[in-house]
Parts: sequence; C-alpha cells; structure tokens
Amino acid sequence: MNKWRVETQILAGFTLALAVLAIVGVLAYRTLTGFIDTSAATAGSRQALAAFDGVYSSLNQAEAHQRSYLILRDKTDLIARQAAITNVNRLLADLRPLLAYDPNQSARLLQLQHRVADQLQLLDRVLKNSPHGIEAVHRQLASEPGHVQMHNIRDLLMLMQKSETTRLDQRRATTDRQARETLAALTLLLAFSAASLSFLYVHIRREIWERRHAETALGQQAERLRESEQRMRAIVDTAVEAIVVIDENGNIDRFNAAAERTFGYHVAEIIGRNVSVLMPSPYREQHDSYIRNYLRTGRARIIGMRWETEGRRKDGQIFPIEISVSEIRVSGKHLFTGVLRDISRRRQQKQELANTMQELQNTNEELKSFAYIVSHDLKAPLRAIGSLAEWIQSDFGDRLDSEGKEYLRLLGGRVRRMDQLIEGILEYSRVGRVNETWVHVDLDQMIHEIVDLLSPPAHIRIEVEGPLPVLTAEPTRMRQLFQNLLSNAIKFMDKPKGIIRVAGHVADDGWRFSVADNGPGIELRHHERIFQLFQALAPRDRIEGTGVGLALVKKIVELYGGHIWIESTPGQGSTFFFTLPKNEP
Amino acid sequence: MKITSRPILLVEDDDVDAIAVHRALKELHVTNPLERAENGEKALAYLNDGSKDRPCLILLDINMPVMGGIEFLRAVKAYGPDLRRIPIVVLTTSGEQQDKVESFSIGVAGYMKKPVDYQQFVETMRTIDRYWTVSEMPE
Repeated sequence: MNKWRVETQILAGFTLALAVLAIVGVLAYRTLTGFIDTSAATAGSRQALAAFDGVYSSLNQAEAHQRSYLILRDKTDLIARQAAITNVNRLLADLRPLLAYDPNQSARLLQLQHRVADQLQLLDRVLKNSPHGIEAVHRQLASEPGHVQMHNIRDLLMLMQKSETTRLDQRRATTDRQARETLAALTLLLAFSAASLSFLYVHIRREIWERRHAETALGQQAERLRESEQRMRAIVDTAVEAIVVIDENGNIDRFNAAAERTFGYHVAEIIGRNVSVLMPSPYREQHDSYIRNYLRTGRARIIGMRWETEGRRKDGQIFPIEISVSEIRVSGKHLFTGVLRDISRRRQQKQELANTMQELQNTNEELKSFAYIVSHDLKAPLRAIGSLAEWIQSDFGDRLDSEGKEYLRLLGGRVRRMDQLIEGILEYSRVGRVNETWVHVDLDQMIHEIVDLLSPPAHIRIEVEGPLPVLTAEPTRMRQLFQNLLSNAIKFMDKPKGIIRVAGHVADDGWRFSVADNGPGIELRHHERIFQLFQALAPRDRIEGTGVGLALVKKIVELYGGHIWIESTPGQGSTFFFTLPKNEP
Repeated sequence: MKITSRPILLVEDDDVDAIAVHRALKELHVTNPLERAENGEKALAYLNDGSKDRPCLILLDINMPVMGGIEFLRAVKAYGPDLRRIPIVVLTTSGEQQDKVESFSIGVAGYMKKPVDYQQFVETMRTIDRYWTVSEMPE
C-alpha cells in the first residue's frame, strides 16, 4: 500500500516535471523563433534601408561621374559611372526579395525601378548626343526633367524608407512584448514547479523514512524468525529419533541427522524424492494412494498413532521400525511428520527374551515332571521293602529275637514315613502341573466334610463363622488347603480345651480367610520357615509330619493369586490368614 | 471268585508285587491258578495263545516296561469281543487322574491303588475277591 503510494507520487512528480519542461520548451521555442524572425526581419529592413540610400547615392554618383566625364573626358569617370549604374541595378535586384512581404512596398519598388530606368535612359541619351565640353555639361544640367526625376526618386525612396522604419519599430515592439510574456510565464511555471517538486521531495523523503523504519522492524523480525528457524532445525537435527517430513505428494521436505544415520541417505540426495524409497514392498506401492485417500476423505487410520512397520535402507536392507505420524498445516498445505526409530535391537532382544522364556519354561516343565517321576518311581521299591519286612516278620517271626522284631517294626515305620513324604511331594508337584477343572465350590459344605473326615478328638472344638462363600476353584485344591491348616491345628493342639475358628470375609479385592487356634503358637523367627518345603518344627518321632503341608498350602494360595501369612503369640495360639481373589469364571 | 476253574492273569513287572498278590490270594484261599505276564506284550501273547486257558480276571499294572497298562488296554479293545469280555481290574501305584480317566474311558471293571502296607494290600485283594465272588461273570 505504502509502496504503491510512493511510486505513484514519484510518477506524478515526473509527469509534472515533464509537463513543465514541455511547456517551457514550447514557450522557449516560440519565443526564440519569434526572435529569430524579428532579427531576420530587422536585418532585411536594415539592408533595405541601406539599399534605399545606396540606390539614391549611386544614381547621384553615376550622374556626377558622367558630368565629370563630359567636362574632362577622362575615361575613368566613364568606368566609375558604369560601376555606379551596375551598383544601382544590383541594389534594386537585392531589394525585390526584401520587400516581397509587403505588396505596397513591392508596388513602390516597381515604381522606383521604372523611375530609375527612366533616369538612366536620360543619362545615356545625354552622353550619346551631347558634344564634349562645357556645353554638354550645361545641356545636361539644363535638362529639367532630369532634376525632376531625381526629386521624384528621392521622394519615393523616402516614402519607402519611412514605411520600412515603421514596420521595423512595430516588429521590435511585438517581439519585446512576447519576450516579456514568455519570461513571466516561465517564472510562474518555474515557481510552480519548484513548489511542487519541493512538496514531492518532502513527501517522498518522509515516505522513505517511514519505509526504512518499517524495513528495520521487518529486518529484526526476520532475524528473530531466522533464529527461531535455526533453533528448530537444531532441535530436529539433534533429535535421537529420525524425523522425516513429507508434503502432500509424498515428497521429502525435511530429513534430520538421525534419519540420515538410520536410512543411510544423505540429506542432499533425499530431499524432494518420494518417501516410498524408504519403504519396502508392499508399503512402497500403497503409500501414494494412502495419502490421496486421506486428503480426499480426511480419514486416516495411522495419524496420531504409534505402530510398527518396516523401513528400507539405502543399501536395500529391510529393518523393523516404530513410527508415529502427525500432520501439520502450513499456509493451507498439508505436511506429514514421521518420527521413527530403528527397533531391530529391541526386536532382537524381544526374541532373545522369548527364547530364554521358552527355555525356562521347558526347564521348569522338566523339573516338575522330574519331581513327579522320581517320586513315583521311588514308591515301588519302597512298597517292596515294606512288604518284604512284613513277610519276614510273619513268616520268620518265630526265629527272630525281640531286638530283631523291634528293628523290623522301626523299618516298617520309616517306610510309612517315606511313603508319606513321597506322597507329599507328589501332591506338591501336582499343584499347577495338571490342568485343573474349575467348578463352583461351596466352602461351607466342604469345611463340614473335612471336619467329619478329620474327626477331631473330643477336647477340640471346630467353629465355623459362616457363611463361607461359594468359590470357583478346583475342589481338590480347596480341600487340601483347608484340610492341611485344620489338621495342623488339631495335630499340634496342646491345650485341654482346644478351639479352632474358621472364618471368611469379603476384603478389598476378594476374600480373606483365617484359621485360628489356641495351640502352642509359633515364634516370629519361624514365620518364614514354616512355609518352606520339609521344614517341620516338631521332631518326627513325636508328631508325624511330612513338612509338605504348609508349603502345599502356600503354593495353592499363590497359584490362585492370593497370599498367606501368620500372626501368632507363642503359648496362646496362631492365626493363619490367606486371601483369594474373587474369580469369576 | 465265582469261577474257580479258570486262571487269574496278573500283568505285573515287579517281582515283589507279584509275590504280594500271590501271598494275598493264598491268604484269602483263592484257588484259581495265578498266571503272570511281565508286561502288556507278554500278556497279549498269553491271551492269543490257544493252548492257554482263558483267564476269568486280569489284574493289570499301569507302569511297566515294553508295553504299559494303558497301551495294553487299547490293544485289547482293538481285538475281538471275546477278549473284551474279560474283566480287567487295574492294580497300580499310580493315583494320577489322567490314568484313571483313560482306564475307565477304555472300559476297566475297577481301579485299585496298591497300598504300601501289606496288610492293607491284603484287604484290597479281599475286596476284589469278594466282588468277583458276588458278581456274575461271563463264562
């Protein structure tokens, strides 16, 4: 806007200046031509005036020289007379163009020529007819018409002279007036021009100052923009992740240093190329239609999401990438920014982890079946030992003394204990190994069945704080769980009046059960150990225990996603707590 | 036993277990002759041997070398109906659910766990004898 105004002003200034110059030129030309015309006319008039004088004096000279010749008969006078006549004729010829401008003067000139010619004829006649000497002179002098003629010529010449002088004066006056008028006009124009140009100058000056001011501001803004751009570029270039920006046609617009490292292309060779060169088939072929489709429908499955795909390096190597694409709009155009990273290493690590997991699972599986097979295979010979010991006792008992019989009795006892141990290990290893069928288990009913089975002695009372929930679980596991806890409580009871309480309540994230007794209690330092395999606290010979029970309980609870702990005051009793999450089938 | 003239076939690899069965049957005054095969393959050979008496009952162990109990059961089932008619009672140390399920799926007449204690074992054998004394058997 500003720009246009200044240029229009300058143009207007130039037009004005040109117009003034043109007017000045025209005026000056007119005035100059006027001067030239006037001076030419003045020169002509002067020449004519001089010629008028010349004609009269030359005629006089011609007459004087003829007179002199007639008296003295000197031939030179005759030559001078002839020269004067020639001069008269030449002057008359000269006058014709000079007086052509005025018909009056031209008519007068014609009259003059006739009179001069008459006078010259008169002179010739006198010279031819008259004898020499004084008489001839007298005759000549006496010839009256000659005098009259000369007077007439003089009058005519004077008239012409006067007319010419008047005309000259008039012309001078006109030229002077014109010159003055021109001068006045020029002065006025120049003053106007000077004023206009001064105004324009001031105006343009101010405009330029304003513009320069604006330019400075603009420059500062541009500098800030450049700085910001540099900063952005630095951020993009130093980013760890590869950044590729493409335009609506899929052509690469920006390619940062990490992208160079990832794909092996130099930024200079990749800018402007289609992004599909970075993709292997079949993505390569599909990409253009993806963009077109998006621009047409505005629907994109990938924008704003993070997903995994494949990239293609300059050397053709295909590698896994993780990429997220975002869209920006700059002055109405779409740009797509892809931030991506090479996940080859991650993939590899994942694979390695999966392999390790598989190996671990295999090992675990082997270990489980190993425990089972070993236990199973141990049982057969154990049974044989037991049977053989018994047969020895029954078949050969009479041949053994009391010590031998005692040894065989001890042998039988150990065989039974070992059988229980093996049975315990089998149970323990079976938990979680066999695919279990989960059904609804009514715990209230189950507890009563267990109590019946255990048939506690008369001094121990088992109380159930019902109602206990119905769970979805494997019934055998639930039975093992409660049976072990209850049988432990019964087995270790040292009070004359034993009370065992079973309770179950809804807790934060499932069920919380407790089995409390008023038995001997367990010292805090043993609280961890009792849940470990083969860690019974009582001597084997006093209380039969396999050391599997609590370990089995813990394993079952943890298999179901719960946890187990004990609170106990030595001498007053123990409470086993365990949680089971609410599991809906 | 309802039928006393025909033998009982014991398929068992363990000698002591075999003795245990032998003693128990003697103790229980079971008069049927006891034939023993060390594994499933030998038991099949016995059954296919025309010169041998057809047993009235088969006592079958599960865990055996060469051919195990389950495999033997499958083989017998593949034979004709007259072999399939012989009642088979599984007598094993295995308490595995899978073994029980497979045995009954194929069609055993009973599944007994060998107790470690011999006296209990005798009781188990007594139960078998009683059952098959009361129960009818195909001739």
